[in-house]
Amino acid sequence: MRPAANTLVMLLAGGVGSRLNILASERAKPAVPFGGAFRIIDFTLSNVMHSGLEMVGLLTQYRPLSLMDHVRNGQPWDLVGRTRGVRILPPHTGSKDADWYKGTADALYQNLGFMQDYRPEKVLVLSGDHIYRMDYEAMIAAHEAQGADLTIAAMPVPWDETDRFGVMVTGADGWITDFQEKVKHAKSNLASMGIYVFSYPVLEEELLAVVAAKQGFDFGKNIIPGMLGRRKLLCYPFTGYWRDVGTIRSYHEANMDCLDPASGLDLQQWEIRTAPDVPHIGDRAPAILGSRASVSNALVARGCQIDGEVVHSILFPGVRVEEGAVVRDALIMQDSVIGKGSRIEYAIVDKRCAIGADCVVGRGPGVPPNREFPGHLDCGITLLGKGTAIPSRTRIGGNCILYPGVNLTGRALDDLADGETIME
Amino acid sequence: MSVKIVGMVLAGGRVDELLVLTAKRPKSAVHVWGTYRIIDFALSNLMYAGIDVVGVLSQYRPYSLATHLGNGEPWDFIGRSRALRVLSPFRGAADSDWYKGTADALYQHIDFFERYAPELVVVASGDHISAMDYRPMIRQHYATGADLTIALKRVPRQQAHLYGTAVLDPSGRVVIYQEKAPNPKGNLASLTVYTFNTTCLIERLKQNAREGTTFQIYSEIIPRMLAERANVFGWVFDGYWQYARTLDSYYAANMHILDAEAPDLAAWKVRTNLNPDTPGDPVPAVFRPSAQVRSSLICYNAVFEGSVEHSILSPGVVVERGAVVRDSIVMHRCRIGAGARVDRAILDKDVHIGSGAQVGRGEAVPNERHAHTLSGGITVIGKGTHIPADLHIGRGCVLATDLHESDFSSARIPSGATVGL
Repeated sequence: MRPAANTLVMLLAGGVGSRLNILASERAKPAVPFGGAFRIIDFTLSNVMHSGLEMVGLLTQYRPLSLMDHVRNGQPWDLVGRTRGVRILPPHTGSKDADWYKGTADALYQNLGFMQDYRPEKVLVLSGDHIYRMDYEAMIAAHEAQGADLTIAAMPVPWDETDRFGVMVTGADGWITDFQEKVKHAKSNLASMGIYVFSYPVLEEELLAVVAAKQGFDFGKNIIPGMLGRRKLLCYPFTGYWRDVGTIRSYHEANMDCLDPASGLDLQQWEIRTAPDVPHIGDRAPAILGSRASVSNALVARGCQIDGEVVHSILFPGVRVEEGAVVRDALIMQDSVIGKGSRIEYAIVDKRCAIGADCVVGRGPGVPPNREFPGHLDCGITLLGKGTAIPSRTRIGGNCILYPGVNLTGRALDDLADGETIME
Repeated sequence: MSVKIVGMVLAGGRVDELLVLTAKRPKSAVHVWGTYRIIDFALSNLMYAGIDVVGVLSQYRPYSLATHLGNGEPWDFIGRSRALRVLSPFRGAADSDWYKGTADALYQHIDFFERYAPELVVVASGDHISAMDYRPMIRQHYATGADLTIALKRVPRQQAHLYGTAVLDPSGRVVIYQEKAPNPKGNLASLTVYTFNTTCLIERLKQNAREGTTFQIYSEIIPRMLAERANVFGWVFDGYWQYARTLDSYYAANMHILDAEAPDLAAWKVRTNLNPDTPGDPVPAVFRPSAQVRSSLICYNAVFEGSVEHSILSPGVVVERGAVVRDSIVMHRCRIGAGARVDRAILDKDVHIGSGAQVGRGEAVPNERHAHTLSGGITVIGKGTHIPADLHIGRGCVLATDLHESDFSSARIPSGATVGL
């Protein structure tokens, strides 16, 4: 029997993704589009499929509509059948202690009933926020072979980023001797990837204990430190491509990695699956390149019509680049239109934006950070929210944010300087 | 269970003139415009006309067609009272056999559509590229009280002899019908799309099974209905319609999508089965820094390092560095090796062109053995054939399916040659 048998997957997909700003303001972070045809959660679900796992509980909370439309019954990942499936687990009321999920551990605690129904031997806890290809089956096999209570996947990160992660100290045989959650001056740079294999009885006991203690409901802050010394915690080292795309900069970089054969991110090799036949995507025609088109170092999805120039960029389905327009270092999402002669540089343009003729959007790195959200946006990228409309000859600088639905047509605006934000 | 209208799609024919393209599939399963198969147009038209139940009559090498149709889900033909069924010839009853003609194919499956007790049966062809809305034909059928309504399209006089043609009286009644007559009286060509009253159809099919000789709708059912003064009307369609009866016209029909006056595929919303026959999923097309692609239709899973001009490329095509593809139709998963040149060619699926090879060089001559279908200088290479590096292939050539490097002994295949057929 494959090690993955009798392992239930609990996939935490409620993430708010606030540092992705307007990209994740109307959708959960795992539902954010990626790589021209995918959403972030496709990477985790494809890993689940390739690892031979069969049953997934999908924990949703924040703005779950796009996510539920996307995952539906799990069919794109072959997660359908008598013993295979994806079950959506929203927060629920009914028992006296059910409520909005108070943390990652609480989300699992509130779904103990779901887990008990499957009587699993092990539970694999995942999040839908990362870009990577990983064989969970090998990790589960290591967990079994070593007789661990909990196995945590980990990879080294640069020392100056350790404060963003839970880090662990291990003995020579891989057993975890210490764990620190997001601290300054960490003892190690071996970071937790938020991927856990629990022996099921241990998980149940620890969840009940942490909820009873009412000190906090998080795996990194409460469950794992509480298990140190009492339980057998194993580190499972991983060394491949793995990116947390939680910031605008890292999201943009990981997308651009799709264009670089040396990056380690290879969409074709990884066999990432998505739900290509959801409404609005399924019936797309092939892409058409006109006689003046020039496309290099780029990804072009279905239904695009290109008559301008596209360099080092990713075009999602149905994007139109009109004659004389130039798109450079940019992500242009579904059904956005770049008007004649416009220049889009270093920008992320969400779905259904309409950019008129002869506009200039974005400037590139080295401009002052966004004034409203300097913590989110200082890398130079300009964000246009879903459905924004920009009249011809508008000039928008770098690090700017236009909120979803902003329509500049008919508004007497001067050029938008670097770092500006328009909310309505 | 009853539905008002059942669609029956005639999709079984090979059409020998398409040579290697229909070596392994019926014409209705031949690819067009990158991601589509020809039958997608009839199925999309039936879906958009609100028809809920469709039977697809298939006979010749039906595997690729059946895989493509699946359970009908791409066209929403699923549910309690919606269905798509592939109807094959069967044995068991004394009179069943391979389909002898279109009328016989329908006759063998009377059980299928009778079960739904429809008022009407719409019979459509699975090998036409058309954007036909069947609803006006159906409305006219009810309004005229017809037993049979035939879809017609006005064609140039000099082409009328290629078709069945009708002459209508002012009320739209068919007064003359001639099948491929040398000098037809009319130029309204039959599109082999028919709306029948179900009771009339069943009666005519049973009669034809007893008394027929050709078992074709056009040569027996229609003439007999006219002779017996049944209510046969014509409905004139003036929208987009193409029918490829030769390799030359198949090439032209495909290339038409790149013309300025081509139909807008994005607005048309033709549906196809997206389940790709590759293990992964539709990854957007990859353009490497050296790519130069213009005036072309391109699909997912493709990788471009070389140049492409005025061509139609299906999913999964790889054009390596320094390769040049011009004026060609390149189907799924073909690989054009480094420095190779492909001019005015049709490459069926899984063709590999070795590095430095040249396809479609030289003067445009008709194919020596198949000039009736291939006279315009297009070279056609069958599915799965691998062309060795540096081989030169002329124009107007036809190469069979599944040829391997070792099957080629010379360094040059002259224009007009046929290999392996």
